[in-house]
Amino acid sequence: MLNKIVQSPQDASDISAQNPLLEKKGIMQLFLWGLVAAILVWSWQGAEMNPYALWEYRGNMAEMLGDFFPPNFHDWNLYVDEMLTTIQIAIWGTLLSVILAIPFGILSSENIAPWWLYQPIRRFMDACRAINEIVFAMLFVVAVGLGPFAGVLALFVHTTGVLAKLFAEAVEAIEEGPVEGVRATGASGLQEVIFGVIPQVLPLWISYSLYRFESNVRSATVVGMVGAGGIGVLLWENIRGFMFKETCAIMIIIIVSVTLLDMLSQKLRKQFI
Amino acid sequence: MIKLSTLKINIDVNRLASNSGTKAIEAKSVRKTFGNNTAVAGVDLDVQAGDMVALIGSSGSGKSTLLRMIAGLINTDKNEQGSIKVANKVIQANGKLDKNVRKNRSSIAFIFQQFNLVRRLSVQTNVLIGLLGEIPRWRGSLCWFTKEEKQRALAALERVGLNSFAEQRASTLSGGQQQRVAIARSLLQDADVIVADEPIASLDPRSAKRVMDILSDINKQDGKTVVVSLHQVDYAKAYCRRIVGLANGEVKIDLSADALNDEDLVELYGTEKDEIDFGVSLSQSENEFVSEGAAVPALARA
Repeated sequence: MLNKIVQSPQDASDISAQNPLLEKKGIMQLFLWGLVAAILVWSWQGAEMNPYALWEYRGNMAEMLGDFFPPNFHDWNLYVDEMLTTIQIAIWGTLLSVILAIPFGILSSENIAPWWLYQPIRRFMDACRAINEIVFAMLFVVAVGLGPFAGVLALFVHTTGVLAKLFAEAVEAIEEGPVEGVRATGASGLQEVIFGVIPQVLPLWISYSLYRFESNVRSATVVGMVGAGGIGVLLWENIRGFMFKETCAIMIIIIVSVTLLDMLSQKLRKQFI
Repeated sequence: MIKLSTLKINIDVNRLASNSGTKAIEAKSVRKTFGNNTAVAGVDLDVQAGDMVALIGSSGSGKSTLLRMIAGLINTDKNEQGSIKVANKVIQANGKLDKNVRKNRSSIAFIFQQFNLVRRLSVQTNVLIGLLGEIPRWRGSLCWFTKEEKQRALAALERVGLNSFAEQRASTLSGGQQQRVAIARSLLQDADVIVADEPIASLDPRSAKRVMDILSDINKQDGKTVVVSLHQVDYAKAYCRRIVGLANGEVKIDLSADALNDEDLVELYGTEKDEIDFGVSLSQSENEFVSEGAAVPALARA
């Protein structure tokens, strides 16, 4: 079939009209679109989608929005203090996960590790990634008590799962040649990785780590809600107490800090690529 | 420091001179198949220490596969008689790489067609990688090289005319320069045997000549055994003493370079008429590729 097309490309459109293979492809495509539509309808019902509620309760929402303003910055130094704790949680949560993601990432790469090693490690990393930071935070609060350290551990476990996968994908995309060049000198397996693999993936690894740091700062603002330290504790207390003017002040501080850190890390990332 | 390394080279020459006649490479009934495709169909090849041998043959004749098996980069097929020894060290036997192959690879320096440098590392670090088989594992793994070793790297770079590039990233160099860095790496490796797989196939004629001059110099001055696969018969005749020709994975000719004549080449590459046909069929397959490319958007539109 393909040979025929190759010989006379100018007739390709004619051939495709009578080509049963292509007709079959068209039916297949139609079926796929139908499937997508069915999934959308099914999820609409499950999620109890009700856009009318937005209109129905517009009065309530306007009233609540009004309660947020003007923001109350009376305790601003407390908020900034807790925001700094949040960033500190993110720094250690990210650093620990980067350190662990390096061996786990390398050992879950198909082109480095044998299947009996990378398969179990990958599944383990899947498990770390599958559970949200908040869930880990709740568990670690039980294990190590209330406070920022529980938040660090929660971010650390989840981020290790994420970074190991991203690191492994970078390793699987390397050029094989330089690694073979190192191998041919009589290097050990570890040395192949150190000299042949890591220099190739380092820019990507740094970029992924900084990106995860950004998103860990965002996550660290939430883990406090379950008692794992940082600004989330204050946020949760104020929302529960219907103190929306204070809540608004805290949210503004979060937005400003996260934006500043994003800009900083973007600058850093550009240095390494 | 540089004097020290010259002294070392002299010792090497003496040792090899007294050992002349020993075998640098012993390959016995080496076979390799990829699926249904026989790349190397039973080759016996001995190379004398200090010799410079060219491996010629058309594309797909098995040159590259043979060299990679000699360097222990791929296994041979399982075969009781099949074995490869380099510098009296077993590289592989009966289709299995020797358990010391990682260490033994340091006696064979491999020069690749695509240079295979680590492009983001400096030229000097790339050269120092040549020491990894020699220095203690823990020190190599920590990238800890002594001042003396760094000096040796600079001396090796000086020999290939690139010492002023030592600090630059390897990726900033031209192809010919990268290949010279690869040769400097093999100099630091100080292997008895240098195996070069199409080292000049990706280079312009001037760089190609320079690379071959350096390889020939290493063979003559340091007494290293050099086996080099080449596309260009002219280069093989000009630089090598012995020429081995492969066709369909078998040794078809094995002569001294002076004895090689046109009839041998006709025998190796097929008749002259076939050679012309080969050229035409190559361009045909190119056309086919183009028309296949043209057919793809037509399919996508449909």
